[in-house]
Amino acid sequence: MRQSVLVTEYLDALTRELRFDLQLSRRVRQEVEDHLFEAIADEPVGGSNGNADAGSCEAQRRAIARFGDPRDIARQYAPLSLLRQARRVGATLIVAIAAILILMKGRGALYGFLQWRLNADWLGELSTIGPVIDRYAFQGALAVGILGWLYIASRSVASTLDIGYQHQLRRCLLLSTASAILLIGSVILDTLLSGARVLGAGMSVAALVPLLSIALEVALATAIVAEIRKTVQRKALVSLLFADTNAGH
Amino acid sequence: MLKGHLDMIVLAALAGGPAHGYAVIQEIRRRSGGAFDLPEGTIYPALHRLEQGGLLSSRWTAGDSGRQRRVYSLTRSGRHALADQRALWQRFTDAIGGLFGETSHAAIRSRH
Repeated sequence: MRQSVLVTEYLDALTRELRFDLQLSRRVRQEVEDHLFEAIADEPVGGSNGNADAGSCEAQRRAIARFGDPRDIARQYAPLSLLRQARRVGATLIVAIAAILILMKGRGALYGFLQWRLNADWLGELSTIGPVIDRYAFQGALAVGILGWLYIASRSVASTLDIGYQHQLRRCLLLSTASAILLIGSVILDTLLSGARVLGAGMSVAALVPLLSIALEVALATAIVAEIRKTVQRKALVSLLFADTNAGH
Repeated sequence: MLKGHLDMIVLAALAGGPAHGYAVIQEIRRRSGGAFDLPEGTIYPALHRLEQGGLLSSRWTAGDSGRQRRVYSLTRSGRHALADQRALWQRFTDAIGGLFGETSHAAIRSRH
């Protein structure tokens, strides 16, 4: 059976309403397409005055009507999509924190082995307080990140996006953002301090190791920022989806 | 009321074996004697939610027409959850049955 204009238009409308989650919209579209195909095939095709085309159109309309309004369906996916994204942010944070910890320890061992010290003449007070702030920022990011991850992992998907569930999602985002800010602060300090050590020791092949590890840290921090940005965008698109219901209340 | 029990209804419909969304809807309609005639689109968010919760698993398969279709099946956790729900529901219906029974007995006694 060829896909009709009616079905295509309906699937397009559903995909549009689900634009807050492209991966989900692709999967849903494929599932709904298969569903409508079967539902239409099961419909009795009569048609007024024996017109088979009119009957087929009517069968498609009935199948589409039974499936429901695209916006209503998209709204039902919102709680799932938002929690899934919150979990993705949490997982990215935990992976990034673990990777940055390994990179920091590795760099520390290398500096000790090569006797690369911070130059107090260049950095002034920062050579003393910088590593301390870096350590506390990282430990803070680790503690808040683990707390956030435990909180996110213990949430279950609600069937509706009620106020309680929205508060839970907001807490997930707040914890992730707080951990990310501390981690980014730590990465910025790492970059400054490592740059100072490398410059102090003079450029050599050995300097590539800390520079590459810093580049990796920056890439991880960027990935976290990208995921948080995606969460905020998804939240905004979901809010638009509910805009008419909120206006009605 | 139906909406509050949708997850349990979907789990029960899949107790007989793996099925795709359309078959789940037909099974619900058939086993409820047509009493549960849900908007069909509401089943899919429930299936996705139950999958996310680890109660269902799913995979793409090729249907008879060659079309790709997503088939869902109960996981071990899903079977446990269904058994728990079934026991809970049984206790609830027993309690309500008892309550209605008591009420009707009281009504009969008051009439005499």
